[in-house]
Amino acid sequence: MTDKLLSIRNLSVKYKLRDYTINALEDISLDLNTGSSLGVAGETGSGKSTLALAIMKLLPKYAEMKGKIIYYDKNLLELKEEEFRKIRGSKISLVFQEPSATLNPVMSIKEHFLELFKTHIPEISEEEAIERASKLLEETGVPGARLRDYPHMLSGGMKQRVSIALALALNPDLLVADEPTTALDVLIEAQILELFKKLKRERNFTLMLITHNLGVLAETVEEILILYAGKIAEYGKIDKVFNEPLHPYTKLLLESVPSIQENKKLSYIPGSPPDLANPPKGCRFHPRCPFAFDKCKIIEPELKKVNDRFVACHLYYE
Amino acid sequence: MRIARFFRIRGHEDAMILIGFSILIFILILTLLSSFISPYDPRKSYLNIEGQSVPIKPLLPPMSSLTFNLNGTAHTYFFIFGTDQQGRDIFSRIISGASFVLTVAILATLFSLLIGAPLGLLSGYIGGLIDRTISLIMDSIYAFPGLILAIAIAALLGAGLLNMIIAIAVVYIPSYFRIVRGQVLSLKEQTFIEAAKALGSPRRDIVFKFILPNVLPSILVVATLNIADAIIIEASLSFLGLGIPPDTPDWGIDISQGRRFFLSGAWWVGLFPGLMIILSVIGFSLLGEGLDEKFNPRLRTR
Repeated sequence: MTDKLLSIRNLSVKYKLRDYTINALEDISLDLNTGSSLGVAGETGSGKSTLALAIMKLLPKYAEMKGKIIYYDKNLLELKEEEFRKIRGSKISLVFQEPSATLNPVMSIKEHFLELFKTHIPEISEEEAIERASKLLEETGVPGARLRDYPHMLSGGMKQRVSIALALALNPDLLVADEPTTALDVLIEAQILELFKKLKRERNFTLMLITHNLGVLAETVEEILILYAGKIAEYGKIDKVFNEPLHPYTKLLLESVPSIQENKKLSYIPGSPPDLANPPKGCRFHPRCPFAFDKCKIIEPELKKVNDRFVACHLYYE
Repeated sequence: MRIARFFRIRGHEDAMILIGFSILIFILILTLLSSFISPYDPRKSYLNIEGQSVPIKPLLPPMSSLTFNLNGTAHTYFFIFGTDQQGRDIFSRIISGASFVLTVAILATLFSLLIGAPLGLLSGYIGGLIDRTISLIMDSIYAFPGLILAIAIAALLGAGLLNMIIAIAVVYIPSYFRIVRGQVLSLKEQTFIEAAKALGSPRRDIVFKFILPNVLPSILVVATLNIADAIIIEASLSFLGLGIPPDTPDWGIDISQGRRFFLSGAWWVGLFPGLMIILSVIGFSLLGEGLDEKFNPRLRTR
């Protein structure tokens, strides 16, 4: 039996701009158990990053959130900013996409750690904070001596390791990683993913890994959530979804992963993601779907349980 | 080349900083030591020196020297830059004048920085109605030509050191406000600010530890350049008689008085204080521009 750590229920996020409203996320529900790992995949603009920022409650002011994000027994969306601030970085942490941009250029790595520790543990002594920081750095594969360095003195991979060390410094229950390897080259990417797996084994946190790179997910996570245009297309165990994708979008997405071994022509999904300010009627994927039929154009499919997973597609229910 | 290596000069911006800094050090030493190195009393008229038989003419040209007997001993007076219409030593006056103009320029710049920068920080970070209100006020100040606004304020407040400082400070508040606000607006959208929030840093830390240190170099550059402008405004106000008592040794006042004798051939009365203004403005400008290029190299090369 595992415990439920985080449940999202009917989460919708709308960006209210002056002239129009963008439905960035609609009706997202998911559960994360303690120690589990979930991958979130989808195209650019499918709402992946919005989901990460919604969990951290870091969305811009013009974003409107509806639904519930339940962490243990508390609804995070109802928490006051000051209470939530204490959770950020200590209980729920976020690793960003662009390692070069996540560290303050005028602060040394040491100062970053001191800021974090002093924020959450005001009584911590400077010596203890520095000792813990250098241990964390070593754990993430950065020599402890680099504490004195400034961000520009580190390589991209190093910076991402530092960001991960910062995110894990206070032993959070949940680590949300928003495309943590997108800005890195393939070899560093593999090292960082290996680091995630190692740290997860050692510390047993819950991992939510957001990426558009399906290959990354196959190696790292247990469950997968496919987002399309702000809605869940398919959600289930990763081996099941990858071996036998049900949603046409998942199928096409998997086929478009480039392969070095097979000399096949690179396939892609024709068309482009819909305009979220004005999404198409019916199933949002129907204009690009090779299997679309009349019903798809009129009625929006609901997310329903099909065998071992959830799918939102008319092909699988009457 | 050897000099360049000695001062670790690696580009023209380093040379600018070095030259500007040297000029300023020179002026600073002049100011600090003015009471020791100025040969004569800058306020005293040497038209009637005690015990002398023939009255001395005013407006002695540069390099004039006077020798006469007093109680049996020979006294020699040497006026390297000449004397003005009241027979005062111009060299002594421009040395003492530096302290006044620098005090006004530096204090005025400091005041406007201490008011403008926090307002910009607040306005840029909080945004909304507060931002719009403060921006409107700042833009309306900025809309006036600086010198005319300073003249108006100085005339309104009346003469005096403090009033002159206030008049100049008000003119430059919007400069700091605008540059800080603009930078805060772009900085607060940066990922590292979001990352700081994601690690739970409180607002106070985000503003003072993450945003402010990133803005400081620009503030420093603007301040250095503003001092140069403030010197010119100070001189202009004194020139117009809006500043301080006319016997105060001050470059602006001296130019204003020298102007009247320029056509009659006494060019030295106005020239030397004018050169001092040019020298100090060049000093601050070189330093400011050099620092600007050093801190924001991307702005130039791209």
